[in-house]
Amino acid sequence: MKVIIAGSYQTRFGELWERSLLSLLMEAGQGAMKDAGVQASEIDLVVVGNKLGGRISEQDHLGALMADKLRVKGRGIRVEAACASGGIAVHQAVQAIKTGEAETVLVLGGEKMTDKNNGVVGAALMGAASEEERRTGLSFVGLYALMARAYMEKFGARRRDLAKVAVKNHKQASLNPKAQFPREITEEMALKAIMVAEPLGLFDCSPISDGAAGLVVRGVKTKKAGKREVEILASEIATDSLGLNERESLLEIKATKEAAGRAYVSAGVGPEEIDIMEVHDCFTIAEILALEDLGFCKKGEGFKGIDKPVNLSGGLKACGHPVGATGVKQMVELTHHLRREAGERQADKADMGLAHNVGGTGGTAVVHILKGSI
Amino acid sequence: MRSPVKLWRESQERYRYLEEEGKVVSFTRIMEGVEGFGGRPYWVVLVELGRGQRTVGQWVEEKEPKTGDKVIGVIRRLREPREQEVIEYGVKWKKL
Amino acid sequence: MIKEKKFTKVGIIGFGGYVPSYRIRVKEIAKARQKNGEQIVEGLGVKQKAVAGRDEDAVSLAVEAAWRALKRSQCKPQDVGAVLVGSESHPYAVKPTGTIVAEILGIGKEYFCADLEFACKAGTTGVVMIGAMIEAGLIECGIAIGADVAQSRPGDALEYTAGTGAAAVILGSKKFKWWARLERVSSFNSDTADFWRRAGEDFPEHGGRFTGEPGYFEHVIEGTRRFLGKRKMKIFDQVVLHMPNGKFPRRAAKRLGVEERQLETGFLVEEIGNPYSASAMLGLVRVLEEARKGERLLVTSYGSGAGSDSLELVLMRKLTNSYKGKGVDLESQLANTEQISYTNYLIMRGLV
Repeated sequence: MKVIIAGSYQTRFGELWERSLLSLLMEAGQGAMKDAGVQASEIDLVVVGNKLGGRISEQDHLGALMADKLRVKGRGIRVEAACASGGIAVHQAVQAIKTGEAETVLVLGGEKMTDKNNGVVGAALMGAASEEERRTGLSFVGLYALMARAYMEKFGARRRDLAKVAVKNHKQASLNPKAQFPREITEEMALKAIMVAEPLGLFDCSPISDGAAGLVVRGVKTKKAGKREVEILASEIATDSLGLNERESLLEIKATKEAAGRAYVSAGVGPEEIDIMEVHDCFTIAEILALEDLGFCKKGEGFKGIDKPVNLSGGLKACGHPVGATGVKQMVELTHHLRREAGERQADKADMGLAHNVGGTGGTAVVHILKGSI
Repeated sequence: MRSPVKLWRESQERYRYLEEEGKVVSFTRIMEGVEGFGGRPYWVVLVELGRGQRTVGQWVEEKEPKTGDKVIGVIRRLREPREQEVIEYGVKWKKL
Repeated sequence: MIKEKKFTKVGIIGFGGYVPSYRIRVKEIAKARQKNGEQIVEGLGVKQKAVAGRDEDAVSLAVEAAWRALKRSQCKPQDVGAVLVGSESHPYAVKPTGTIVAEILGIGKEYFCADLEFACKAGTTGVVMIGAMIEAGLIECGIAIGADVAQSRPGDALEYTAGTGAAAVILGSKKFKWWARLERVSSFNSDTADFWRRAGEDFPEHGGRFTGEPGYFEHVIEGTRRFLGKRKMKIFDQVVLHMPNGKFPRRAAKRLGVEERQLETGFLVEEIGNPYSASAMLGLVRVLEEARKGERLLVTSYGSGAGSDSLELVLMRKLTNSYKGKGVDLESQLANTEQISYTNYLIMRGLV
């Protein structure tokens, strides 16, 4: 049996003042079902990935809520793994299908972050960190800044090298109508921007965003593949300690390496065979580390970039990062390319894609490998 | 309001590294403080202790830390408590 | 009435002081206030004062002094039978500083504790009480601390001298090795409102010149005279008097027949200002760190409201270099200071 993506949809990401968490998840759910050509009555299970629902919107219990509101036949559950909530929601769907618990699963990832001010949201996001880290007044920018400084001191990367990542992602987002910042920036703008947590400045950081994304995932027994069918070849999760100070190294995210390693084995492919990827660039340094941890280049070389297209959606930086939505949106983006439906930003070579989603500073990592059928 | 029960239960954990010595492995300056930590920028350091263990904490000096600085743990107020709150104390790091 | 009593069972088994490293010059404050800095420095006999960081308070200062004292003592935290913290800036109106300090230091749960307040003399009062408990055989050792982040209204004359600091003295029975022996103690008090702060108020009020003769001088001089009785001042090698500024203690010293050489070791006020409850206590710690074996020490503190405590000690062992350096002793702390601007001072003290 193969697990395939039958439908995909992403809402616009941005500061969506008029939209509630529920309305965003509804849009994503209905959009994905429409794209898949399925009725709500065919959905056995809804898996919702979300981090801040309780704290920002005072709404938990999202699995049951969405199953009810979307009028699906089956039931709903919610999963959480910080910024990897979306990725593990997809993983749960794959597991449910593989175990026979469900045949057709609706995966939703969504987040509503702009209802409260940045200070409050920043503190809420630190729920993904350790108690020791919270006591220091560290923010997530601060945590990744600690990694960035260590990386820069060890491998000679400069702020300019980090800025290049942001410039690239903005350029790609300028072709994405769903992106939060569909406009280019220059290296100079990035270097002159205000510091948020040294050495990371404003343009090194993904924004606070609202948005949602959805997938319809099914188990199919026939070998014949429809043209719009995208197969999930691998879905792997790895976890590590929450606290950055408890990790073996500041210079890599071990959970990424582990999840990727298992995903490549499970899919029977190596990094060379991956054509396109959506990696977790919550901060510019994170994309650099991801390229190394996913095996696309040697340790310490990530800041030089690679030859393959990375984050054609604009990444978290320019497309936006509604925390729970990102992991699902990455799959939506890859699906567009693998179906050759990505329009202006379509990658030339797009047979195999990789999605990489991280929770916290690497407490959780999820890697999916997708294959198109064109 | 921070829970006085949680503060009481976790107190020994917060005081653990008092008087311990270590060196700075990485550091950053948080320009926009997280809620509850006051409006001024502050430095946070990642410290490696004698036994190879690592910890994170705020820097108490006004001057910038440097990778490799030798440091010692001292007691300070951890957050800026609101008028009616119980005060939280813990370890911050001072240049030796 | 206080009885004539010579302690036989009480010694100082540990001592330590802490002064934050930030300094603001009197001239810097004067400039902000559009006053003549040189005249003020001359008039007060104070050059600069210490300033606490925004995240420091009487609790954190007390702990800083106390762990340094414990480092120099043979007693383990669990041996401590009393923790008395004297301060005018206890962080809580209700909830003792002492238990927080004890918890941080790992002192366990079996100890006497209550916070002390008597303006600038609360620290030495702790020494008196703990001395008595040890002499009575009730406890083996106890910690007396004076710690303050002194408050002063911006623009008020006190702004030039109200400083910060903490000093801890650990007293113990013969079970532990003594650095000095405590021989006699006394006190002299009256209801004199020369300087006060009402509950709920941020800043103190003071009676201007009333703080002088009827306040400081009456209690320091008369208290010391009664303490000495027939004994002469020259038997003391070191004398520490409370230092609200650089002038008062020198004037009192003259009237008491104390010479400059007896006063100079513990005379910290010119460099650090007035750390309120830690003033005389820090002078005492400094003397204990620098004095020679066999020297006899006199300490008279003063607290507004008003009263003085007098202590008489004899140094038995000189502090060796292994207990100095690295910011543990006062000399290494005083050598490492950082000047700040008036603006930074206001921000650090939460006044803006």
